[in-house]
Amino acid sequence: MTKGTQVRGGLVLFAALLVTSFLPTPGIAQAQDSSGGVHPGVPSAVELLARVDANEVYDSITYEGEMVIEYQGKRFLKVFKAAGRGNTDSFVEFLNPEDRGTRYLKKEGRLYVYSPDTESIMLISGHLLKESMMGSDLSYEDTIDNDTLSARYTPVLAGSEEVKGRRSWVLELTARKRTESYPKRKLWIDAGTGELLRMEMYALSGAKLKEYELIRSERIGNRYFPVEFVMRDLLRKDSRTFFRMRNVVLDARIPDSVFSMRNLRK
Amino acid sequence: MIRRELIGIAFRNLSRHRVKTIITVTGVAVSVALYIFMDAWLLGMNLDSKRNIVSYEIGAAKIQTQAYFEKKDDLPMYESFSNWKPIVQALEEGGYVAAPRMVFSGTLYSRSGSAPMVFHGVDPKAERKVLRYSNYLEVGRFPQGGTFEMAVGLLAAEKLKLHIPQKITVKELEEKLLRMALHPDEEAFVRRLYEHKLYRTSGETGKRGEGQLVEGVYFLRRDVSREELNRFWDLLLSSGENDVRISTVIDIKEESGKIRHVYQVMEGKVVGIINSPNPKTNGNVAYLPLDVLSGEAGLLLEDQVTEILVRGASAKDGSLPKPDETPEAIVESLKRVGYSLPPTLRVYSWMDYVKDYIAASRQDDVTTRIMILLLFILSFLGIANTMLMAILERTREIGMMRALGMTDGELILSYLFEAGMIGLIGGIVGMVLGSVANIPMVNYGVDYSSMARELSGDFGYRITALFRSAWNPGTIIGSGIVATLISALLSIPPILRALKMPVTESLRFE
Repeated sequence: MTKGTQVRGGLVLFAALLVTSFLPTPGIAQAQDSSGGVHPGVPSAVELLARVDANEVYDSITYEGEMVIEYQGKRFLKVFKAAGRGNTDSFVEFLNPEDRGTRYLKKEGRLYVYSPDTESIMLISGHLLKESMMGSDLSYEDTIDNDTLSARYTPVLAGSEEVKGRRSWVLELTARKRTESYPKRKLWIDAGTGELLRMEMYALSGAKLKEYELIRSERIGNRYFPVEFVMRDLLRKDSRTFFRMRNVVLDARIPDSVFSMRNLRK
Repeated sequence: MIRRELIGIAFRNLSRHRVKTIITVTGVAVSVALYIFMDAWLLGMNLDSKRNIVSYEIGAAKIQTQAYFEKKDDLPMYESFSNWKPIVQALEEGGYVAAPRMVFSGTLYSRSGSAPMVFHGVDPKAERKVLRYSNYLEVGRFPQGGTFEMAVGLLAAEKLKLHIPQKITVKELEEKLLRMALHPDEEAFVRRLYEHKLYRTSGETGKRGEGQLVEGVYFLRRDVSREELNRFWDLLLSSGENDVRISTVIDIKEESGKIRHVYQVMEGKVVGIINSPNPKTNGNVAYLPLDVLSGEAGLLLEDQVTEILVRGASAKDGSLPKPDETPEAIVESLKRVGYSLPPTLRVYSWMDYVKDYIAASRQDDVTTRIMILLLFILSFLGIANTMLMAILERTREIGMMRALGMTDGELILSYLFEAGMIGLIGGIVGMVLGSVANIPMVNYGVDYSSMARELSGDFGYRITALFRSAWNPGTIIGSGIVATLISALLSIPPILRALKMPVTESLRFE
């Protein structure tokens, strides 16, 4: 698995992060817990995280999606279609009447947005990257992650817990570099299927910033692919975003023209 | 002698055509008065704005990296610099005061809401030496070093409900304010601060006062003392009502040049509210100690700052920077004490940071002067018309005076005196009117605080409430002289035209 063939679908939003393998748990041999003790029959933290990463790998993805944003008693529906390819390319076009024609293009790690109102393209950079995307609980920064968790974090197995009746392993991740957006994460991984059931993201100070929770995944090929989840930005009062994907197609060929500036401006 | 007679003739002519004279004089007077008034107003606003920028916002100059200055509107904290202490020391040895700062943007969350803010990490002691906004605390105190305390602008405090409420519902009083009282004395104290007012809703006819008597609201009593407010503020602080969170992104430049963004959340407490004469300090800004921003609990700072503010050590409050406070003078002074700034650092004048103010000022200046110029043109057209008509009406009279031996030069001079007197009288009246109108504007000003609040204090000028005029003797005297001279000159073309006519034809002119 080379880096070049990995896909974290940027604007495929967190999907790539959340894809988990349906394969039987391979790493159940022995593991080190946070205290350094070795426990036979318990998967190692590194292996668990590698499985999460491995489950994210695909060449391309297309799907139709919707975000239901619940914010302080109000409800907003965003409908879109999306395509992603490789580590850096993705394209999203919004179709709901309020945002029709708004398009996002992630190309070579840079994120551009086209606004039909001003008929202009803007590069999302700097502090704008931490702003909420389309009023959701996801930031622009969240959408342009493009490296595996294993490469960026050091995992520690923190135990096992039940999540909605499913047995799961709990991983605590600490960023390898001080420049990581979320210096700490906590993952709950299904012990049987390897699905990422829950995830918490933390700021440098240790304050919890966001929560992810899986609602439903679909078996696509040899993966359990998360097609419905909820995200909460804990700094936003009374806010959560439901994310649903339909007609997911993985590893099909997508023409280069989809990920072009011309397509963004069309 | 002849000139005195000519002046006499001019006076008689003015009194013979009294109505025309009065109308023309009025036109000139209004133009001059308006010009003096507007000029004084603009001058006052500009002077106050400049003083407020220097005293509360920037100081005389800033030291920043060139890269930061070029992107300063984005607040690029990754273009900060370290090893600033020797610079501050050298500045102090050279006769300046200096204040290091780390400026960054983020969102401030209170229990009631959130607001985007610009945060200033400051050294409280050094900051007080350079800027004076910390003297204008609406309530509370300036943060102390080593703590996550902060002072915020009044507008942000009101938006985030971090201030002492002026008006509060019965429910809010019971649920929020009284709940924080730890014992009956404190509860009684809080109740004493507010007075309860009942009111009637509008009745079926829609008239106020006809409907039902409703529970009403509590208003902060007008006679609450400063001590009572501070005691109430301490109660708010101890109850946790002013606990806040700062959400920001730490921008870090990697060796490859790529900018990475690390999420950070810091817990803090608002201990003071700033309401200075400069609206920039009262908006969505917060000041917190620089020292707490180092390390993982802060912004991962390793002795970095984004700027050093500089002011002359002997500079007086409210004065504009002197020649020894220019960037060039500061650099020279540093050299004199044996310190050279690193090549990446530059000293920038305060004027390099206030383009919004300069743009607003220039636009207002140009617009106002064009309007006044048009008024001047209108009134001088009136003078030209008056003189033209007067000369036409008096063509036979001119012919007769020429026949009696009056030279062309004497005739031109007499009409120059006549028109000049209209300008002089109008100018003097205008100067008096303009000056009289200026007296209350200079002494009391006009309260624009509501407009400033509507615009969140961000309308270019650095004035929060009172727009005051300033005396400008040069303009007052000059406008009278200019009015006299232009009026006189405007009489020349029609009199020259009349003098071209032969005397015999002038005498027969109907």
